[in-house]
Amino acid sequence: MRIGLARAALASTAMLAACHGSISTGGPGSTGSGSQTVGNGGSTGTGTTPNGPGTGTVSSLPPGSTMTTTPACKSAPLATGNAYLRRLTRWEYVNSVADVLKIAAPTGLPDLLPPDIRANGFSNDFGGQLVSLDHVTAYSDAADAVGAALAASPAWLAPFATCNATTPACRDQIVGALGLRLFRRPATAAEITTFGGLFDAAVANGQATAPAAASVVVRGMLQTPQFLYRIESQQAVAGAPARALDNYEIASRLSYFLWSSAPDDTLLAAAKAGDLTSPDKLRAQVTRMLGGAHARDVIQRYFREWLSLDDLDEAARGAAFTPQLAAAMKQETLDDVGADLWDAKHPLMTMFTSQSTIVQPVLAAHYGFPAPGPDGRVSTASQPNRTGILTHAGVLTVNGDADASIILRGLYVFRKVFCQDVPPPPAGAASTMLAPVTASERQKSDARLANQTCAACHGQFDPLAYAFEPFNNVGQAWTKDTNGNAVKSDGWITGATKVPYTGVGDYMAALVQDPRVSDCMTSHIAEFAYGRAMVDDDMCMLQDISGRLGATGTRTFADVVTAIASSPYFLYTAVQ
Amino acid sequence: MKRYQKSLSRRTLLRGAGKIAIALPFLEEMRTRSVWGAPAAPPMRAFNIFLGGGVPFLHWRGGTTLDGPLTPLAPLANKMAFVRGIQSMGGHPAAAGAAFTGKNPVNNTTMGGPSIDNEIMRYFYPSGKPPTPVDVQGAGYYYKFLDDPSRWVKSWDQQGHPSGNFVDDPKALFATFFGAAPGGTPATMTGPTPDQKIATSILDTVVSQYQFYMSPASNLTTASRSKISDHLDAVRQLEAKLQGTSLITSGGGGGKLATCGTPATPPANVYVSKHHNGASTGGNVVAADFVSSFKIMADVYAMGVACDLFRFGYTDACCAGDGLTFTGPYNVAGQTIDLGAVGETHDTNHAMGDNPTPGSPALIKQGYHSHLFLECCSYIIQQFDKYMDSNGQSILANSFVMLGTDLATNHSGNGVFTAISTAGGKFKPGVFDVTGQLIDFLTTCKAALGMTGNVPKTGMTSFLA
Repeated sequence: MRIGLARAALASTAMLAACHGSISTGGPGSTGSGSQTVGNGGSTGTGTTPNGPGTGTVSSLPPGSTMTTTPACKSAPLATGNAYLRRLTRWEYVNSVADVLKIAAPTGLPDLLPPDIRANGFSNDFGGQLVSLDHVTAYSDAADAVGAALAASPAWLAPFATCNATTPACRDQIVGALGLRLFRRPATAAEITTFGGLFDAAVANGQATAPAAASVVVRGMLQTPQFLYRIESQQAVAGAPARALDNYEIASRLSYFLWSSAPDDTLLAAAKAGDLTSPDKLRAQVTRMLGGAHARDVIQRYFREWLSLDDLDEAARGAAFTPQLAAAMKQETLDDVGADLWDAKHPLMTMFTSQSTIVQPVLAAHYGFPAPGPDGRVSTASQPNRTGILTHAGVLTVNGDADASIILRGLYVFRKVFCQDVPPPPAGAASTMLAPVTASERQKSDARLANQTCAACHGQFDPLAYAFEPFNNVGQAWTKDTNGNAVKSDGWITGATKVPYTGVGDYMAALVQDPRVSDCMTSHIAEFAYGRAMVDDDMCMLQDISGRLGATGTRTFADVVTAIASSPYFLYTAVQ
Repeated sequence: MKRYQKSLSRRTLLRGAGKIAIALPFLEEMRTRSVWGAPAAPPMRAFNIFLGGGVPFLHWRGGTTLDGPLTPLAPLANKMAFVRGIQSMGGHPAAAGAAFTGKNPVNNTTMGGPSIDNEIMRYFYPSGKPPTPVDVQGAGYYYKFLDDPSRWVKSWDQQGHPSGNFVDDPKALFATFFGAAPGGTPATMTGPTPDQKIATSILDTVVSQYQFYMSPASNLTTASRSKISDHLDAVRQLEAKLQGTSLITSGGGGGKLATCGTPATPPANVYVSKHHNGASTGGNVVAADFVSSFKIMADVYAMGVACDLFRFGYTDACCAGDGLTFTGPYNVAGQTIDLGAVGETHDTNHAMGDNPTPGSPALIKQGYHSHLFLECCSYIIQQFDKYMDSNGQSILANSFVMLGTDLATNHSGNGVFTAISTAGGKFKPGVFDVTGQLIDFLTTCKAALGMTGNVPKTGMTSFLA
């Protein structure tokens, strides 16, 4: 069951934490030092776990671990559900290649790779990661392209080895160094033997220098499961419902969550030293990584996918809706969240109430704003309804259809802002017309809500879209729709108690105050972190994350990310 | 990119080229895939044949006669059980995802459980996988909904995740199975160049890594190993493609039938799916082109089964909620169906509502849509009937082949169209009425197939032999 449906019955997790306080996991839990067996059956040797075999529950955490979840979660597993593999997304692949090999990604590399399926809204969700001949062909072609790029950079091997020869000793050093970076953990003895054989085969076939032969090794490694999949051991420890990750596995989780890329040398060194099982040292790494260049890109990627902004590429809204305008719409939201929520560290919930944005001239004209200054910044206060991210033109285009449908817009908010959903339409629903074709969207919705059968579902989400009726299907303000009907903006926030609003300003203020919304924001970011939908079994984890955060009005995006990465749940995986 | 035609063992080459012998942990696995004896009995196979958009119950115009929009199925009247009265889920996403699982999807990429083909595969093959080059092969056409695999993926694994790989280009399917050259004979080349040797060494090394992760030593769960296995299947296809060979010529197909051969090479202008992911309506497709291209795909697919390249899989005659507009005339067994210049879309299903009047224009227009897709489905099922197993029965007669769709009428799952093969005499051919849910139907089928833990459900036994 998707967690949204269950969450409706819960009070805010912050309130839960406030009511129940923290759980200190004192006691004689093992600090653990057992190494984990990963990769080709070899031991990484340094993969200490946070609590040894343990029981995989909160109560088994080592002394000093603080949990902010409820007592009922104390005996619950630290990871639930099925263990799963995540493949690198197109973006993660390109980032990893560029960062690990320290070269500019070959031109056109992203386009070589098949597009990711945005399962559950996010491209990194494992559920959509089908594999086909197209995929492996693309991985082969991409590896060849990377090999060609390396050939054009004769010094590329220098950061990986202190030698530059094809001798067995140097070969093994090179293979080991490449394996550490590309497999994100030390290469096993078997891997060094296997890829050493590939190195020798390359030398024997004319790739006579170490960089040339090593580039062949890279081409091979880039197509392996060790590189393409984020492999964590899924072997159960006797009696434990969850397994503690080793240091290198933690490093990969962190780097792909915070950077959408492979661990850098510093993080790998921390893993080697066993630092990532220390809460303080782990937190220090999180702080360091959030200061890195990739982190800002990741927040933009998150918003791009959460709000389905890539649907702008496919939207059809007439001749005036040009690719240039669509691109400007997408860029507005990305620039705005980058500047406000990341650079300026504004609280996350201010995205709903901001009356400032960043636009390109083409979009300023579309809105009817004066031409922006060099930084693109404009105030939206001149248009009272233009408040917050949900009134960005791009959002107001993708959240509906050519008719600016209240149904679609309501569902968009219901799912993305409230993490709620409803069953598919019942039989005959699509053909039911309760109001004249020329009626306004609001009049049609009024008719649905007056019908008891329709209102059962539409009553939950239609009113969440009323505030957007003053905007047309490309987000421009209008006072009358295409049939000449006057548009309205009043409505109510649905839920156990109706919260009335008179316009967008009230509406956004109500969202900020609604604990379901702040919980939903955390849940979506957790989905992005874990690459899967949150389900009922994740409630304990989400409660712990929310309990680590301050008041909803002050928490930043970075705070939420830090809370997720600092939670002990982040350090465990489900097992068979 | 053309690599070279293999003339000696790649591992021999790799070992010879290198200064050390590399580890070869996968010989046993290779042996089981390439040195099969002819099966003493027909192997267990299962295929899900899907058409999007549904078949309204009212198309059973003559009671039990397969005519009108059901005419394409007439050649199968004595070969399949046509089962009426099954209740499925309503709406495209849920019903399409549930078409072969019988359970509501968790979300658009995770079903409530495995599809029946996957359950059969795991039950009848102790290792969970058949000894064929490809475990599960999907093929067909869809448009839109790239982000919603529940609409077009029709094989789901134990965890309800997509199983197998999917090809929507007949040319690609042909090249994978039978090679790029007509007759499946690789082009003659003068021998491997050093670059080609290196490319082959890379693939050998890559394959060895996937084989390791398919083994218990990898510490992965069965489900994760299955995902790795799917990837390896695709790598093998790439390997054959790059060598200018095919799954047939590179050692696959050991359990092939005597009729295993090479189908006609698809023409260059064959229709290929055009993926889309947002627009509510797609482009126009000439119906005749769609059908003829689907049949080319079906020829290749069925021959792949005859050559024992795979034993499990699914086909799509468009996905649920597809946005294509089909235009113009096409001919079926002397009948000409003209969809006109304006064409028909799946929206015609919805235009008629839940309770259309028999003979109403909306129902007739919907019938065109059903007819078009049923013609595709019927054709591929008939191809399965062309090839004879060692027991003298056809692949169709020996296999579990299920024809399913998402909807009955409009967005309703009330009486969803379903048919199954006789599956080795477990089911009777004919038209049968049942009462119950799709999950009950699937459970009854599994019980009839001898899968322990399943008991035939009340109201679901009329089609049992």
